[in-house]
Amino acid sequence: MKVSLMKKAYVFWIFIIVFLVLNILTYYYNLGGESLFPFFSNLFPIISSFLAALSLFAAFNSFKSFDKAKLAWLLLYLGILLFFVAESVFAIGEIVFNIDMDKAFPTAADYIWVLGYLPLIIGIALMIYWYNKSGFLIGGLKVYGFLSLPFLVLSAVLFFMVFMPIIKDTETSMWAKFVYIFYPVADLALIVEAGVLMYITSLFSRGSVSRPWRYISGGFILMTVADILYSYWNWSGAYASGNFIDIGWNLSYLLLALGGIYQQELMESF
Amino acid sequence: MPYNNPLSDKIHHILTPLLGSMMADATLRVQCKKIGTSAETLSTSSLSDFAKNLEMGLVIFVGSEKAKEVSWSIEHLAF
Repeated sequence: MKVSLMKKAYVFWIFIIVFLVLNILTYYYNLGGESLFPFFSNLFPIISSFLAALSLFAAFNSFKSFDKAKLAWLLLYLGILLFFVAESVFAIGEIVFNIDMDKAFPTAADYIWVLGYLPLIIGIALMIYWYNKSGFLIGGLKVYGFLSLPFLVLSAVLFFMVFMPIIKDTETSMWAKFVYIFYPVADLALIVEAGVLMYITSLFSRGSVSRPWRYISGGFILMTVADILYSYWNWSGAYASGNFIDIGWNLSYLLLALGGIYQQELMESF
Repeated sequence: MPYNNPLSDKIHHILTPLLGSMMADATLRVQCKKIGTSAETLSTSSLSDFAKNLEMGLVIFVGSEKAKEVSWSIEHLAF
């Protein structure tokens, strides 16, 4: 079992590289032309989010007792499962019903994404809270102060460049404004949590217990950066499906999946 | 990470693959301090308390079953 899971992580790394190259080629050369390109650009996030949900479920399932760890993985799984449903609804809207989902914003898919953020933010917050109580090394206060600098800069940039123009926009409905602002606010919460988690995992150097969380935090950081860029570009009309930002989302899902695989590997290593 | 205590060396050896060498050392020292001892003076009579505290911390990473296994292997260093 131990060998097969190590093999699984190795195979998944190869899959990530192949999938990433395929993504870049598709987006760069607009593969499939006008008829097939939208299909590919909607299929990639469905595949990657499905793999993430599947892997997180397997990680959740690898715990025998329902304890803190299992609850944290359950919340991550539920969040990503909702993201997978949202990706699928988005794709169905675009491909089957021929709706420009970015212009029709906010759609049913957006509401599912909004719901999905809640278990993710709560799950990681709980993980950090419990870690704080665990008696393991927390790290220096100076580092947290240093880490908070980019957060403050990002908050200021978001406030002036994203929130203010959206709030002042008279042509955008209240619901649309809520969702436009919810994304970066939720992303900000997620990026702070993921940043703290990444710092904590760095304290473990090569310790196997932190490896899954290294990929989980990396995945969320990448996802939130892509989200923040999307929020601004979509509102300013510069975003269209098949944008390079999509690759960031796809890769972030795959990193989350890798985190799930490494957690299963960790659980099997005893 | 050599200690002037073979028991601490053994615990460090058990914890390193899981936590990494630096965190294993820090955890060993912090947990020892919590139970009113140090890595240099840790004795078999304190192992049970040490292992229980460690178990509570490990739960968030590996769940209660696996944390118990690690705790058990430390507790039984006394035998």
